[in-house]
Amino acid sequence: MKSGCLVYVKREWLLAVRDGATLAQPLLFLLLLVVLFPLAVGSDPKMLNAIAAGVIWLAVMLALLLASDKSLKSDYANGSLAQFVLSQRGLWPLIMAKCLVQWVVLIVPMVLALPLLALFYQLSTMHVMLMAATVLLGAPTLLLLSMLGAALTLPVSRGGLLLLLMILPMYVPVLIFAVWAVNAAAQGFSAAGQLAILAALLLLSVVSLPFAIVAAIKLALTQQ
Amino acid sequence: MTRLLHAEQLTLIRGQRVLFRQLSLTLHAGQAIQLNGENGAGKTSLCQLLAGLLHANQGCIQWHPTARLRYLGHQTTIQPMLTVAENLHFNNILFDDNTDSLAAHKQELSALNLARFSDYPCSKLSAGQQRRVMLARLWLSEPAHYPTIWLLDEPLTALDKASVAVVQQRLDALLAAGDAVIFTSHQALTLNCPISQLSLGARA
Repeated sequence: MKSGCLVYVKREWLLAVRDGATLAQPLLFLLLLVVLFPLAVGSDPKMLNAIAAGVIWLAVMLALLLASDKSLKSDYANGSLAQFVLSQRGLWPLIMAKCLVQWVVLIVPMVLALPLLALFYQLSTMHVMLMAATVLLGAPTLLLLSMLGAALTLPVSRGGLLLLLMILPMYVPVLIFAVWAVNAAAQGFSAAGQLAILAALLLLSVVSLPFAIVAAIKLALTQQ
Repeated sequence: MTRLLHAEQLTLIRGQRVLFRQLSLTLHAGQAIQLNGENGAGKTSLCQLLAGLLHANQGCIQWHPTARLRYLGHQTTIQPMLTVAENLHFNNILFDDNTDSLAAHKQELSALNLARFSDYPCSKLSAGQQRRVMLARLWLSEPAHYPTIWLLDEPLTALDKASVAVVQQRLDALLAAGDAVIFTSHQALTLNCPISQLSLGARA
């Protein structure tokens, strides 16, 4: 292979880092939401401990939704997606490269910010580690779902709300098992089962959602 | 003469509107076809159909098994955040069978008077310059050893006279080499070979 799949990753990486505002928006949103929550509900450590997993996971979900609309839009608008469809390698490497780069530029910084956010909720180290594990396992599934939503709403000029309505219900299983894992561990139970389910959801998404994303993009191109 | 593309009895309906009905066309190596018609007559849709981006309601399209297809649509197909050189470099990932190389990049950029803009972000270029980058990108995707069908939707839009001349020269060379061209244009395009005309709109 003349250029290799790494060139796809390099392309997505350059596009992501050069669009700093788009990149920073979801991260800032996550930080603000998680930091402002304790100010709004009070500083009772017990209550903060109890709501921490739910608040952080909701913020992760909404931050990813905020970023999802942009992942395919510019390639669609400038006609690059049509060229990718017509190319010999098709859309698969592009989608995988987009997911990988988004994982690095969105999810990894979120995980790195968790110890800082934990200070506001007075979480233990074990709590933070488990939260990081759920984000690392669960967020890639959300990324793939977001990309599916973005692909389905490509021909819609202001498809943000439609995307929200379509994708949010699909986020719910990940949210439930991720929050359950953290809360179960906080109460002294094992979180292995919930983490295994998150991993299973991730595997299922990786093997099935790219098919749906490719089909949705091809369908969108017929509307262009 | 090798038949590179044959479309038979194509019917395309978009929404409630019949763009064309039972349209047939054959394209041979070395042949150029110009699609004519007023705005909205279905020229772009036919190009997209022949490229495989749209599906016909009826009819079938046969491509020569070794023929390659290159499509130039209305959109720029370039990323404004990337430089001219980067946009051309990432063109590499689309096709394995092209003649792409660093020397070819420089040659194309020089031919289209873009050499000094190589490291400019495409967002800083004018519409005509962006179109020229798009053409450089297209020519760099030329397959090395295969007859190619070039589907060019308004290739002359926003181009100055010098660039139009470059496009004409390039198309003449491609046709002489055994490629075939289907294009739409509201501007006059003069080629060395006779151009077959296909009118759309009247059939609908």
